[in-house]
Amino acid sequence: MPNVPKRMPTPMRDLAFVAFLFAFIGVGFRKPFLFILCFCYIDIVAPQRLSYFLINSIPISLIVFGLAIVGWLAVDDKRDTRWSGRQFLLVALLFYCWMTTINADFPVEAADKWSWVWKALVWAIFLPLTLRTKLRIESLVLFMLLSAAAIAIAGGIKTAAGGGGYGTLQLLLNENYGLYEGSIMSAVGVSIIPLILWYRRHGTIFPPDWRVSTFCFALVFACALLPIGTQARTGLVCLVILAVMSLRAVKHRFLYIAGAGLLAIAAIPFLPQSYTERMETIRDHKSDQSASTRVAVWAWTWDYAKENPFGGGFEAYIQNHVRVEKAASAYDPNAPQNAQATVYEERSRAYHSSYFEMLGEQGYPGLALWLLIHAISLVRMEQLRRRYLKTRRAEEQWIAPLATALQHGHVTYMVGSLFVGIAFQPFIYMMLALEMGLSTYVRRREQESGWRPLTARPAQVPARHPVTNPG
Amino acid sequence: MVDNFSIGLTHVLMAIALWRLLHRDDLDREVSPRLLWQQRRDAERAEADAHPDA
Repeated sequence: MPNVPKRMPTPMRDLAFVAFLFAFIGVGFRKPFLFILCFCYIDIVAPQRLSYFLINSIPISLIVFGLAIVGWLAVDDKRDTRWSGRQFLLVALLFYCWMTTINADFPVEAADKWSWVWKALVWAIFLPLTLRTKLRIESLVLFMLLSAAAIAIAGGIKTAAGGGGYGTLQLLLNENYGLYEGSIMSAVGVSIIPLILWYRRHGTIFPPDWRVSTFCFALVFACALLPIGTQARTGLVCLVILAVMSLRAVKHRFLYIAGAGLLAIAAIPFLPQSYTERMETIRDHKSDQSASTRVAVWAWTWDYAKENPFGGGFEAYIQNHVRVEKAASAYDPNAPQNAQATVYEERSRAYHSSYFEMLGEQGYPGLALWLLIHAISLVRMEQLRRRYLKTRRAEEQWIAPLATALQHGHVTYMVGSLFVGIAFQPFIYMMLALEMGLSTYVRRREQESGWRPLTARPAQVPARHPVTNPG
Repeated sequence: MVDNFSIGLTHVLMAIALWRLLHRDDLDREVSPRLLWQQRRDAERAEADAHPDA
């Protein structure tokens, strides 16, 4: 663990957290949907861990989880509730994970991970049912962004002030919990950039104006700084992928390429030397210990899955024992030992890849289910994007850009997942839920009103109710 | 200091958003006056397009 002094308790901040949370729960009794936003907020920011008073001693997360579900069951209108096929897949994944937990290689450790995984999965199954209106979808986006922003802004400012370093950038909380882990936050931070840009144009809670634009651009900047501050290589890969994908969404492509290129070149002299050195190991990974170990663990997982096709349950990596051959690197007078190839042994190394995490812990069926859920989501977003890209209706303008933003964020996350074990990170399940909610919302809207997106001029749209064939 | 700024700013924005959401009827039912107005306007446009010389 990085040697950072433990934060002193701050009574004022704790009081503010308590007041905020209680007010949040209070307004939930007026509009129960706000409980749902409250749980998303608690899940991302974890105020109970930032606080030393009252809310850290009661199971606030579980209470709000219960309130949200009871509030929906008791009050919310369920007439037009629709299920998405992916929700059934998530139910299947939930049951499958429960089965592997019962038969896990390490029952105690597996039960520990299961204790938060089930909540993330149940939440992802439940959340789309509640996203019945456009404003609900928008407010969920807003609260996810603002919650992540609480971490990203602090990280961005500290990075800009020169306080970064691998494992040393302190993101509000001095422990690797949830999004507070550097690599995870840098991947998540980059993957929310498209959503931030969507909100700037299409928000109605904070309608577009110069203040919203300023905040959004500053937040994008902070998110882009996170991979530099945390020195997580994953984040840099995510940034590059996102930059390339954004070519699909921007209007003036050549201007965008030129601008992005100039910005990247201009940024290089400002990067700390430790950063550029670390990033070079992406290319020369064989002489880097962390990267070599990763490859060895992946090879171990591959073999393990052959013997245990149904997975070893959560945390199955604990049993791994890998022998790593580290290639020689160029001679460095400060570290002459690196100039020779070395062999070392490692035990219980984490997967550092969501794909191998799924393969090792849940076996082939689990990996297949997980991949299927993500693949369907990405395809659905592409369908929505194409269907609504050229719509002329004012109230449908937000749909295609949101589908694009979610899809780009999702792909970025999946690329980041190649190098970080974040298969069950609750944040991506909220994004999945948002995608499912958007799909069912649009489907319901189309069916209810018999509307078709106006790609042609209104007069050329075919009749709303097809004439039944008499023959 | 930076932490408190970051937490403060985002939480104030969330509080404002909550306040605004409390007064928005289209959170639970999506028939806002704006939507009705848009639907009416769309219908008028469609009609105008259907009878261009009227």
